[in-house]
Amino acid sequence: MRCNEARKITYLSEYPEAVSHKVIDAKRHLKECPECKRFFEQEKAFSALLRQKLTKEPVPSELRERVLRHVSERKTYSRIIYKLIPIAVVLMLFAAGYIYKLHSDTESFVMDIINDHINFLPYSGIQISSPDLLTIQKWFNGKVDFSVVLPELKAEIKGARLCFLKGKRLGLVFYEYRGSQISLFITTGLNPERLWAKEVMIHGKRMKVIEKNGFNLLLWQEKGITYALVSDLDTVELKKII
Amino acid sequence: MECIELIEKYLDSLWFTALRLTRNRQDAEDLVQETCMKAWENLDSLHSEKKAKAWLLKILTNAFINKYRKNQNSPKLIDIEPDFLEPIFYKSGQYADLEKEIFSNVMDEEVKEAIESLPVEFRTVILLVDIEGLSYREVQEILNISSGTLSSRLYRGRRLLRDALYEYAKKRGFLKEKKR
Repeated sequence: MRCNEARKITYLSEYPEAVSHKVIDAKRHLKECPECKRFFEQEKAFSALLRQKLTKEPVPSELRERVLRHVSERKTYSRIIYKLIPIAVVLMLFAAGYIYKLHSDTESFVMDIINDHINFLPYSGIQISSPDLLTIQKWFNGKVDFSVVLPELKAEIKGARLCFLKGKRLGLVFYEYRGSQISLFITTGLNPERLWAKEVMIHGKRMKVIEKNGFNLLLWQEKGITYALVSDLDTVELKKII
Repeated sequence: MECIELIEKYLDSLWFTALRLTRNRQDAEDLVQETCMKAWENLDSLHSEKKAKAWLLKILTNAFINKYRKNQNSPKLIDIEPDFLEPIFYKSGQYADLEKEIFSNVMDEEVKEAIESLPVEFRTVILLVDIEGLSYREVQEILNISSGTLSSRLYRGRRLLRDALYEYAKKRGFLKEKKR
């Protein structure tokens, strides 16, 4: 093996991954070649002299303190975070449970409204028959614990009745549009905001649109009163009467 | 050993390397702080305390290289295979046996300046291998270079450092230029 090759291999092979024949040959060459032996002795000596000569200036005390304080603060901070995680998880579970309860209550309220709409087909149990909006509005006075304000719908008003849902008294007004019965439930016990449903804007009013069991609902809130319009009409038709 | 103890143990090495790499006290302070913060955040990646020094120097070197690359406009060093038969002669033609004499006469600060005068690729390997005593394999991993590149840089770096030290010794009048 030539000197250059032997030096190159030996330089590379401080920690050879596999001892190859080349490495063995190079080591053998080094033993036999005084010049190459001297070459590596000088390399090692230079490295050792360099290390001996240099004194490492200590890290400035101000920097040392800053670094160690920072790491230590982070450690404490992260410990606090770790301690707070279980509390945060419990709070989040409570919050999620509460939201889920509100949502499921609202969902079941919607189902009850649809069921009542079906039960009162065709206008069964009507307590006041009148095509006049003001007469119907007046009839509700004292019967429900809020003042009923009826929206002006482009549908024929038929009459009204009271109904009970979840222990609450609701106003129920019947309309008719193109031969289909429309029930308008009026309550203060339902917040449409809690419903995860599609939203539409009709005449500047934000309404939730729900389709369930072949019936369509439009829900909206105005001055604290919630209106739920239920019918087998599709939503396009329902929008027309708003 | 806790992260804070590891950092404290190797803080002087980090500081020394940072100073030589950045050649600027303020930048070195920033680099050391950045290294310690990264070390704390990535403590999970340290698998053995025995490798803590190499691990910390890897964080520091990578942080430096990333910053250095962003700021540098100079062309990248091309690694060429050195001629290992090149005798250890200084530019002047004097032989390498003068090394002991040179080292005993130049000042500590001059050795540091000589290291700082090296191109960054050579400076880094000299610092990691010769000063910090890391193994070739550790340095290859830190710099993500092949063993051939590492040995080439180390060899050429040492040659350049010898030349620089010789010049310091000559300037201080300890060596007189001789003709070969």
